[in-house]
Amino acid sequence: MMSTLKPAPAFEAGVGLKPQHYKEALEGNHPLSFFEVHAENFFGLGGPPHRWLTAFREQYDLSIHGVCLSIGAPSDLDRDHLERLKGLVDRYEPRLVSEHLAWTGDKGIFHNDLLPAPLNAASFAYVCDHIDLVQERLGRSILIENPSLYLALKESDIAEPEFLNAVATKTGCGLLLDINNVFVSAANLGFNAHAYLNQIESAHVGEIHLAGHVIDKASGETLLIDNHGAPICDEVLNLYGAFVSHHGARPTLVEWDTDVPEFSVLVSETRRALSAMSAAEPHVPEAVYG
Amino acid sequence: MADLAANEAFHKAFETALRLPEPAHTAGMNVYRNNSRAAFLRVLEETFPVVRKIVGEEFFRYLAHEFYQAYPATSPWVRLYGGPMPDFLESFEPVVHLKYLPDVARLELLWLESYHAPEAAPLALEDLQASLASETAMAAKLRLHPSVRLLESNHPAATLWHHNRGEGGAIKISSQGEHILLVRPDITVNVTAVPEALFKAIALIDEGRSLEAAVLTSADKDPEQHLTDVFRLLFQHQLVVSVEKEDD
Amino acid sequence: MKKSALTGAAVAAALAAVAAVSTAPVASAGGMEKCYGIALAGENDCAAGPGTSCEGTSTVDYQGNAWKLVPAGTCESTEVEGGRTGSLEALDRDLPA
Repeated sequence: MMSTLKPAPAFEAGVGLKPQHYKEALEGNHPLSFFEVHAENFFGLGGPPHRWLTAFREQYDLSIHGVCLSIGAPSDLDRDHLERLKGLVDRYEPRLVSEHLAWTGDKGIFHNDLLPAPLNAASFAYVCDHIDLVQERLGRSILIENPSLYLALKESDIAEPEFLNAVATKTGCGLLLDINNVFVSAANLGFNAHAYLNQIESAHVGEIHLAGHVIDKASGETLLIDNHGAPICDEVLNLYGAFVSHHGARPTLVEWDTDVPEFSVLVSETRRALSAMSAAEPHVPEAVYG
Repeated sequence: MADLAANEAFHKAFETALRLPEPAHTAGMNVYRNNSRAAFLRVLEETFPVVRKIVGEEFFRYLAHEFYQAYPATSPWVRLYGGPMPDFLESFEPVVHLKYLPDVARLELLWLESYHAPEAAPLALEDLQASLASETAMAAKLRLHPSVRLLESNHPAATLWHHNRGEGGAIKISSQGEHILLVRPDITVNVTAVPEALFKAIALIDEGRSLEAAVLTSADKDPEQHLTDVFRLLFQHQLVVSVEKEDD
Repeated sequence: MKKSALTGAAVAAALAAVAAVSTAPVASAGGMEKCYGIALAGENDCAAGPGTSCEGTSTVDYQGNAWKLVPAGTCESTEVEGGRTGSLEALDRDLPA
């Protein structure tokens, strides 16, 4: 039962860091407390990318978000890739490290996209083994993100929230809950987004992602595409507000990767998230966020 | 209980569908198919801006599509994806007459390596003088900056590269080959065509040969004059980061 | 080891000659970029791209525009002495099936 005396949750916001925003984001006239980068873009060992990232690390928390580890495929993880990730994590000691419940390649051939993994007893075993290996090698726990889905797989017989809860319980990893992905997948696969969020064991959730999507009708059927190229839609903001008001605030990150607008637009998207949280929870200290 | 073999079969079938040249029958599968292709295309566009400018945007997309069909990615690190591009260009029929193109692609791959190479502080001239102020100086080995990359081209690849990083208007150039040095002493990758004898000296030093071996083996004139030219190049391009002496 | 044709004194003299005539290496541009360098566009993100439309990704697109499938950028205006020019030459080749 919610108590009106409950301490107000702190709102921590971040955005996915884009090179065109580096300069403005570092100048600091914004209320953001962390930035997220894609691990693979910093697998080089030096040069301008690391000079920028080091400057950010001196002022902000970092979240390192991997996209190509392919945790959801049966074959062994690419050890070179894992070692590069370890090097990056050791170097920057980020607050958060995350990957996806997806696959990008299997048996040495890679596809550079977050592909849908079958969710069943067999995949549960190797997904957990892969996460165990990553956490052991990195010496820390990671977060696993729910992907956006465009296909239902007949090989799957475990619902995604159930699968994620069980993976978190078994491996000790946390969850990165992408509420836009839940909304997109729910529309494309025909499940209920509210019900999905109710099934997620909130104690596992260590970060939330928000982003915009696009409605695609080019094929004659309607699909939502998670293009990270639009404002967060109101339904997603409402789902977000309901989740955090019920379970407490989480570090919240806005992603915008397609047709990237001015930095200020990303910052105002985080303010929209705060408003959604405030609408559902009157005790958010808005003044702290600025 | 679902079995592992069934999942393995799923991944194999999915990969086959993903890489088919023709679009898939279902809208959902097409999202994955198009995303994967578009993501690789973007990687190639970002890896080869000069090749792209030379052949034009539209042709490059076609070329990238054909490359994608011919070369599946063998590493999850997409920065390595363009590695086979020079080989591909050697035999890709619509561009075989652009004989310089594979070397321009090689130069772009080396540029990317140099850009992302580890940091190191180049030695100042005074420090170099102090480190080499002994009778055994010629036996010393110079450690070069980790961003140093070398390309020997039978074509004017550096001239073409510089031309197309700029405006890229009409140009008539000598067909002479170039010996190309890349280094990022600070934040910018410098791409320079250097005389052959100096290039050879740098290559030998980079291989770990002593100053003496490098200079004497590569000299095309009076060794003392060559030595001065080698030092001038090492200093101007800030190539040396440390000196290992025989008595160290 | 064979006797060196170059002595330590030659090294000192060569370095002194460089020091006498050399100017300092050229510095880079201003602003924050002066410290951190120019950032390239990222190579990886986890956004979905073109969705169900095949824009820029399909062989079918190229078949429809087969006449465009010759290099057409600056190679047209690049003349390498003794070599050949670019795409203005007619190409006799098979189009993709």
